[in-house]
Amino acid sequence: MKSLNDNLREEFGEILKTPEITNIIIAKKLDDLVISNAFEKLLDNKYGADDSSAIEKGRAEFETFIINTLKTKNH
Amino acid sequence: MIIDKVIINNFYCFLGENILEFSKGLNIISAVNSGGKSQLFNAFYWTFFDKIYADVDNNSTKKAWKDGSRQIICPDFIKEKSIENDKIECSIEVYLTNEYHLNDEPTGELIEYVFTKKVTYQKINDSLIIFSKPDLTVSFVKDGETEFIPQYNQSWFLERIFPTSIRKFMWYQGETMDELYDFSNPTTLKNAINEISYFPMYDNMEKIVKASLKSIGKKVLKDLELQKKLTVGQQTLINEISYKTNSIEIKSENVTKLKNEISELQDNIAEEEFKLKGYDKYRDIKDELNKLEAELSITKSRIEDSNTYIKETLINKWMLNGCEDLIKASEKNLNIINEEIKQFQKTTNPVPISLPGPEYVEKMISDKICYICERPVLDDTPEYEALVKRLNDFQDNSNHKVLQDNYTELNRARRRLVGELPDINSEIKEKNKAIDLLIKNRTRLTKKIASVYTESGHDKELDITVGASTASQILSKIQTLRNAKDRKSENLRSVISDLAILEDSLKKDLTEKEKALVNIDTNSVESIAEDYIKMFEISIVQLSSIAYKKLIREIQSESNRLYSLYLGGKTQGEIEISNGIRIIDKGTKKTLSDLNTAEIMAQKLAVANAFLSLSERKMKRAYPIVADAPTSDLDHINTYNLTLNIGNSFDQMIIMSKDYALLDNSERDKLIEEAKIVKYYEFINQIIDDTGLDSRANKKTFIKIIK
Repeated sequence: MKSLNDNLREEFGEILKTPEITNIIIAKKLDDLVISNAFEKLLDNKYGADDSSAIEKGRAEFETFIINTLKTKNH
Repeated sequence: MIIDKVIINNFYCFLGENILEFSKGLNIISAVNSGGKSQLFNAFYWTFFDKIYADVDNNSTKKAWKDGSRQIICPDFIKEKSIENDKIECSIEVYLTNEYHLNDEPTGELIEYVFTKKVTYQKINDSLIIFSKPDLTVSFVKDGETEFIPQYNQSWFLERIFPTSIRKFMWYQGETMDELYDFSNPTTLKNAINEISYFPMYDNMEKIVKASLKSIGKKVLKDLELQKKLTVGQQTLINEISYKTNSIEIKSENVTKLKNEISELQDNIAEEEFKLKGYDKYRDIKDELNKLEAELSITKSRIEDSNTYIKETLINKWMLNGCEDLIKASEKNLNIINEEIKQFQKTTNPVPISLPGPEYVEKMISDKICYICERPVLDDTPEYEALVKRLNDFQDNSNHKVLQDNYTELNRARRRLVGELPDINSEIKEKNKAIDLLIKNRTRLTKKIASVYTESGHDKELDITVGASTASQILSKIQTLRNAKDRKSENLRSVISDLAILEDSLKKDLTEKEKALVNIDTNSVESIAEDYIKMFEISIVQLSSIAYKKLIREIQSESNRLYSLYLGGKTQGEIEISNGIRIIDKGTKKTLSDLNTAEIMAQKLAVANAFLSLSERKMKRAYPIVADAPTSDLDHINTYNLTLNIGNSFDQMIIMSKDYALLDNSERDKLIEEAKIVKYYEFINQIIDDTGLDSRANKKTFIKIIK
């Protein structure tokens, strides 16, 4: 049985397959694994829309994850 | 979520302890009227939401949702049997299995929660008073320990398991089906959609991604500045971009703030409108009463006016003039005059016009000479007598003339009065007819006013006046809130317009920046991270928009599937969800009006159930449906169709209906098998003591387990 997050992942996966997003991914040479892992950070912070501190926490986790992953990759 | 069990202890018609166990699937409670179905529904509602669907007041059979804490739920039997100062405890326990909640995120772990609500009454002066007020405890066992949800958290918890925006879809009563939802208010649809979908989550993700994009943009620029790779022109452009970005950020925050304020105002309006539901009827009643009373007052005044008019007419034209006597008298006088005239004409010679007039005759008598023959006229001579007689003739003629004139005048007056008499009569008849109609109208209005009181369930004007006044106050508050919302919306439009101009300008600057920085090494980690985040921003925005459209299509499709099932495939149209919900013709796609009650009921039920069904599919949140008499507007075959099909859509349904009581045992068993009914109870309200009175105080509901 699919979980709520599975549903969200599936819908995000469908968007990634659209020509517009696929073109961006190819043009900017974006890594699928980084994308899917970064989405997990968004999933971790999907609740709390009315709380600005929750947004800030989400932003920090999401952004830091991408930067750190890219830094690790570069090394 | 599954309701496992309810233990009802002394609640209205349920005497002592009554245990009802439910399972996943379709659960049926069958009972004829007064069997106890609605009281079972009330037992749940009282426990969870502190409301009871009860009579408006003691003198009324009208029902409304009432504050549960003020209702006496104790059975009449116990009240009558108890003695002075006795304490009586009434309670409900509901066992339900739900995902364990520590916060908004369900953990996936299933826990059995026990909701216990108790109230204690004491008998004083032959009536029950609340000794200890109703108290709810929510407990569960976790890791071998019994834990309690603190009272201050109970509302939050109830909101998690029975969200207000879709609560009506899972707890509904046939009698209040028309209040099931009102999607004419866009917020209702939005809130319901938010409850069953990811939109609040997508919104949240969008906010996170946008915040990240701003943050990473700043980092990229800072990095470029540090590396001193920018020309003066590029630096100016960057500063301009930075300034505009900040302005946009402030304005965006303002937009968010205004949107939140508007949303809060909308919620407040919805809350007030919900409050108004209990009172708007008073306003309607008061309006109707005012209208009827004004009409009654006008009618009474018209009756009064007509009576006065008739009196005045009679007095003026008839009574005061003494017309009847006058006519009679005039007839008599006319006869006398007539006789006089006739007599006079018989006995008097008419005076020839060629002869001298009375002055001339008088002069001749006085001068004692006849000026015609120029002879003297001595006293007591025949000539003298002739002149005197002549003078008398003149006098008689004059009198006759006066008499003749009087006669003519009197005759004319009499004719006029006689002529007017029929007019007065017909006018009075007409007026009396009008008065009769007005009196009938007055009687009708008086009866109508009385029936308004009867139908309202109140016999006192004060109740209605107070209710109407409360409704007016609520309406006034709603108006104030709406005005505030309009002002904020106007402000929001203005800020959004400014924001669009700024964003457009920023977009141009950014395009310029892309061109200007093309030769600069932007392969820093921050720049690459910015590419990722930009891609996320586009994706999440699209995700939200596409998912919304998809969800609307899914709700519509699921609603139509259920709608068709409930009516055995014989629907008059199809449900369309777009700016509200309506039934449209399958061919012309035009809105269908004047649908029968069953169609409307099936449509409402289908949409409500579609929301719950999708919530289960999308959000993995399953809610039980507890419905009291949902099939009351359906005919037998559609009740059967509904029962066969409704159970397949949900984890658990508890349906209470009198319709199943019409089935004989074999039909019932067939239904249980075909509809895969997991529990089937029959409620029978019967006399407790056969030798006692046929009174509610001698009755209770007996529960018979069929399956």
